[in-house]
Amino acid sequence: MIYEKKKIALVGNQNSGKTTLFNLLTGMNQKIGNWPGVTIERKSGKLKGTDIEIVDLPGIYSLSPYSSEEDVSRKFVLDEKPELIVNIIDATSIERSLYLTTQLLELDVNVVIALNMADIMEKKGVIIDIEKLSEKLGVNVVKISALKKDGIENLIESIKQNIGKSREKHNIFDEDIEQQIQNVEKLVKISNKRFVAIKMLERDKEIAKSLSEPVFDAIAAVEIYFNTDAEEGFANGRYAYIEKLKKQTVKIVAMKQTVTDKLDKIFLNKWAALPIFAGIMFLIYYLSVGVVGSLTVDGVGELIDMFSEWFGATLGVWGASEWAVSLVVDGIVGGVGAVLGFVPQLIILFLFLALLETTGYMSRIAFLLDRIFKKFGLSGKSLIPFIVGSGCSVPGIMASRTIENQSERQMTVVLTPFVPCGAKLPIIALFAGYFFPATSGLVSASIYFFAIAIILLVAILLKKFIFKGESASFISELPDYKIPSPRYVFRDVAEKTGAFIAKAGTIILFCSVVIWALGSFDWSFEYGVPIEQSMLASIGNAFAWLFYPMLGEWSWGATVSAIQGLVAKEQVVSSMEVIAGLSEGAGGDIFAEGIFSFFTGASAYAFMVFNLFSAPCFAAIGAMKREFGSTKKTLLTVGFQTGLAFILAYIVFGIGHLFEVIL
Amino acid sequence: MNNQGRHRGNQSGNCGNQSGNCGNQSRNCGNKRKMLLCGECGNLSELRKGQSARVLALRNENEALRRRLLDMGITNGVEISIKKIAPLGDPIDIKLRDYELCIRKSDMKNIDIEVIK
Repeated sequence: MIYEKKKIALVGNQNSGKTTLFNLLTGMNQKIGNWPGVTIERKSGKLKGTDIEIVDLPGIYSLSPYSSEEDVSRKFVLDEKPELIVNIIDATSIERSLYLTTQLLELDVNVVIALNMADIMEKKGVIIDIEKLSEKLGVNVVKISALKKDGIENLIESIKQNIGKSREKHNIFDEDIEQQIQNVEKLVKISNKRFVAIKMLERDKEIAKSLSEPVFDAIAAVEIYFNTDAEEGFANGRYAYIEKLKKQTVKIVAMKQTVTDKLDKIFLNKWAALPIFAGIMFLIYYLSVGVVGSLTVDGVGELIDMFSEWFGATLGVWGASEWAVSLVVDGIVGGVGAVLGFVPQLIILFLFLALLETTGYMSRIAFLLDRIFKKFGLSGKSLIPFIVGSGCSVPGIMASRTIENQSERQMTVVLTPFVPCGAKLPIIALFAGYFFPATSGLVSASIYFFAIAIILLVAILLKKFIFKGESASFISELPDYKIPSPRYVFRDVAEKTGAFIAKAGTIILFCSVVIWALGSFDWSFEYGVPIEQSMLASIGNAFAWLFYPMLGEWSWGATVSAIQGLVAKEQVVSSMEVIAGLSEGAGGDIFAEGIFSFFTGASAYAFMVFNLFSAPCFAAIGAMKREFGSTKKTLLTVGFQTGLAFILAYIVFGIGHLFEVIL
Repeated sequence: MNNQGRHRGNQSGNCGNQSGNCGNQSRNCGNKRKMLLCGECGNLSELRKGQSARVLALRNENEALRRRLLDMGITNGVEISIKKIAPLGDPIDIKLRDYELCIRKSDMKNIDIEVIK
């Protein structure tokens, strides 16, 4: 095979549709979204039907990276030497997109340009002379629409034709400048000579570590010619070339007011924008936890109870011993079933999140709240990790990579786990549903807003005492609104729900069995002891004093359950179900009688607060460690989060209990 | 030092070469806050919705930010207009080179402009 072991890089501006194209070319299902910075790591796949490796890279605006995820792209293009770069250009903002192209064309690698969003371009009244553009740039230009799957065959054909081929480089700057570039090129010993030469002239910190005397002479010459520093001079030069190129190849017939502008008149309206945002966030929680929760949880719960009873009876008929029946009914079905009961609510939550991500509203949230977040030492861009984190903290924490400023990024990593994630939703739904039956939706939404308040409060403290320094800048694009693809939204929701169910069938199952075993045996490994004498109880009793001030009760059961939140937050619910099942012997309602009947509204809310703010699950702690790159910082953060959780839970219980006593 | 001898030209001196179509604009008297009139120079944060300006110079101290702004197309002579303003007054969505970019007012203060429309 001639294409064997060849590598192609997909390079383009943020939100230009690289991953959508990548999915089309490889048949894979990588995450896409309508906001800048969805892709934060390189993703690899094979061009369908060939051995050619395609690498999808985070979006960049130039080969001078600004944030850490952008550095991934520059490093790949320069160090890993792909045989071809497919440069995706957003046809609706061609001038800015071509800026990166001018840099890519300086490299030794061949380039094919995929002119994306051709359909929208025509609607906007932009006409591009593809042949002329191709001729002027000296590379193949293919018109595509990744969303509508148009022109993909042509692009694949062009990729196959151009891979590994050499290409002539054009001069785009003025004669005098080109002369200086050539002078420096002669001194460059490595590949990508033209690119490196220009970077040296720009005094790029990465590439030009030590410059020789002739280079300084050349820098002085270009700066006198540019009448400014070389960095600005070259940027001006590139844009001057692009403007000329655009005049020759692009015709703009009419720039009408777009649907996006009309929608923004509403969603970014001076008075309506913030209420609309608060309304949307409230609705998401109100609908998923409150309305859908009360509709489904009872039904699903009953179904699981029925199954559990039937299964227990069947096992009995088969002659299974008492402990085996208990293991299956109380341990496995109880523990796993407790979590699965919340799947309908999670589906609704995931659906709303997918809509926020794909419509383009997400970037608007960052835009409209930036002013507030700036006051608290964060950036509007922190909103994106927070919102992604309301599905799962792990991708939320990773999304913080798009924040350029180091202190803002680290603060965002510390704060993202405070957002109620999908796994914390079962805890919230369980307690809110039982103790606040009439107002469960409101109470769940109140937990969300409580989280926001604490996030902002902690942000101030962190900014004041730990992450000092100036506030950074906010530079972002507002993408056009798009109607989300139902197929993609369905796939996204199905994938996340599937992952949740898979976790229930593996980690939660395993932990439930462990809890069942610890709760069924005492230290001399005798089965069938009262649960108060079990190993589990003695473990819980060792830590129960910590939880007493938020529960108002010495409860080893709630204690061990909360500790298990480290494994996975939904395990808290599973563990409580298993313990309740063992102590009553018959499952049923967790809070109705027995071991957890002491919970009141105040202790329920306090317990929710504790589980919300305490150390996140191991997976999220791992993600935090990757972003910090330091075990010490990670441990400090986890300690801080847990300490804060205790304090907040104590306060909430104190105040709540006071009300309960008075009323 | 690598930065030795860095040349920064004095570009803000070329204000006044009216390249825009200022025409017979009515003076906006009712407005108490300072508003740049056509042909006047100032910084980008003073530009109002509906006005257009030409960039004269970038004075941002932060090297990385300055580089980013250049990469995003805020170069000498480029035409910028104000498109959308966040409900709380900051950041601002500006239009240049047929696309839109959100940027904070504090960063706009360091971009010198001349109003042309």
